[in-house]
Amino acid sequence: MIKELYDMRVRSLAILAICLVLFFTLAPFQGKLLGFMEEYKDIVEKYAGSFPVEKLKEWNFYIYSQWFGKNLGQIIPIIGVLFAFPLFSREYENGTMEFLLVRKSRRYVFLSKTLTAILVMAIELAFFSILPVIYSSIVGKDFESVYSYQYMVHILVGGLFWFSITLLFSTIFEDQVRPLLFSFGLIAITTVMGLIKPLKFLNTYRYILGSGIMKGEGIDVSYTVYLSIVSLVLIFISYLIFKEKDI
Amino acid sequence: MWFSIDFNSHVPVYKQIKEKIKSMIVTGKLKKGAFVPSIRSLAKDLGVNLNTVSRAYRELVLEGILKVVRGEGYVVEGLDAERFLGKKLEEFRKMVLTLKGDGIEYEKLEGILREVYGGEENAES
Amino acid sequence: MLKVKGLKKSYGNKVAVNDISFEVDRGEIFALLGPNGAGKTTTLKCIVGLRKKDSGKVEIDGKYAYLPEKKELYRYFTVKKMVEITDYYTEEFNKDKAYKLLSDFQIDLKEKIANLSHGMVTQVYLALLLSQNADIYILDEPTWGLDPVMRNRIIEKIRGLSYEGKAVLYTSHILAEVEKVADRVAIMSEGHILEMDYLDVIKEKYVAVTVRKGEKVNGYKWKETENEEVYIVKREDAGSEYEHVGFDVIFEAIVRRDRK
Repeated sequence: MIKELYDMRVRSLAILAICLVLFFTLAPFQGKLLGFMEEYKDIVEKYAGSFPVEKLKEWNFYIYSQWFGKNLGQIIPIIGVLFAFPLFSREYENGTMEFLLVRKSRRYVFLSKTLTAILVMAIELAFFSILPVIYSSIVGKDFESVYSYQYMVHILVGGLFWFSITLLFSTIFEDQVRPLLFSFGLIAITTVMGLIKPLKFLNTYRYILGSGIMKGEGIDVSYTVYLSIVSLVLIFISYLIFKEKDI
Repeated sequence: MWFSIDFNSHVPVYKQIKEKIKSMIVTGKLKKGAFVPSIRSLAKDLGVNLNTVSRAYRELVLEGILKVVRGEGYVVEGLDAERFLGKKLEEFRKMVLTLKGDGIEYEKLEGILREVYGGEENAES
Repeated sequence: MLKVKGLKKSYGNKVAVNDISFEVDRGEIFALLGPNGAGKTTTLKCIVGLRKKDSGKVEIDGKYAYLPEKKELYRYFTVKKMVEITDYYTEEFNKDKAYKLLSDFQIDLKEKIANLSHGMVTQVYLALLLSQNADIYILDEPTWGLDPVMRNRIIEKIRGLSYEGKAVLYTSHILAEVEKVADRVAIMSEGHILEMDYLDVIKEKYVAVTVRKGEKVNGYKWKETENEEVYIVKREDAGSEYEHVGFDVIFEAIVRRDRK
């Protein structure tokens, strides 16, 4: 398990750093943003469309729309992909998988890699979800935190879903590039295809960006269950593939 | 105990070991009743496999040249020097015939014999 | 100790290992020889479970240690860290023994694996394996890429394993080396085992005979001169005029025949 943690140090730290940057270029600058928007009022109104720009003055709305609804929300699938893509493919590629599999069972190797990655990812995603709560209490702003925890569920499940898609590619492909490309490709395809009415369920962004939560609808239980089940099935299939693979 | 082994020879290593031990008995380097090194120790000294020395000793026991002493090791039983040397003399004979066929004169061969044995004769006289 | 029966493995249409059977006993050093592409590496990988065999049985009575053909370790670890990681993953691993061997091999513990030459990585890998207490050591080209002095030391270490009653199965291209240390050999080509016996027996079993061109001989053709052909045949088939030849000649004659 320690080796697995060590193996993912670069990407976990990079993701942590990037998200912190995304947050801290957002949270402290609400005032500045509002000032900017006042100055360029006409242009803003032209491009805002139906977006309630006025509501950004409200801290809650500001955080929920800009952090959960944009900065963090948009990269959740990418975070899932990044945690998973080299998990198996890197060791295939540089030949160290032979070292592991001769010493430990396939099941042990699969579980230690997958669970460690999911754990680290979950901790980071949970942290990013609670970050506004922590920041608000330190800075002394009033923040309606209940929605944070609901978003956290969507974020964790959404991240897990994309993680499991990429995990599958990582167990199949013997180079690191293809799991990355195929997964990003799928993110793009599912999002685009989800614009077609009957295929709405394909677009995971709808779920992750969770506009319903803000409206007080709570967690989307059915979609949560659907994504969770698909994730678990994908992880299980990955295990089967890994178990039978010729190294 | 050490002697040189040619791993790449067409003569198997165990045979080389057998021949060498027989030689040593004939020349008196190994006396009757003396212990030869244990399989392990000879294998280590020569840098050969245990199985190889094992086989050599096994066959020497079958040929009556070595004897197993329970709990102690392998001991030199003796060697029919004549039979052992007989083979070598036969090879010498073949060589002489070959040389004769090549046209080498008797005197040349005699000269060589004198040279090789000569030193010892002088020492004795 | 190790029993392989009827092992078969194909990659798509290509049959890499075609019905191989052999056994390796404790204290025995067994060498699997053959040209590139003979199926030696696939055989070893099927034995340790890295490749899934199509059919056949593999029985291992005890723990095994394996040296792969591609000797890759974790490049961003230092040698010392690699020892610790190996200790974590490997059953019956002796860290102190590993450090001592690495020092004997003159490998700097603080060096990153990525900065070591291929030969040195092989030495590190071997040090790790020799510090593992297994019942059978399965080594794929253990001396490849090593300098002559190091090669001899590794051969000695391999022999030392058999002194301790452990079994060794290894593959090699280098016949001269195999002759120093193998008890039994199997000559493999294109997925088949062509000949398998004690090395000493093979040396005495086959001899070279020279015959007139066109004469029918039951053996392996080795060479052609202007008027004659040289065949490697079994001694009992040879008649009165024959010559003993080195193992490398016997090996080449056997392998060549199959390749036709």
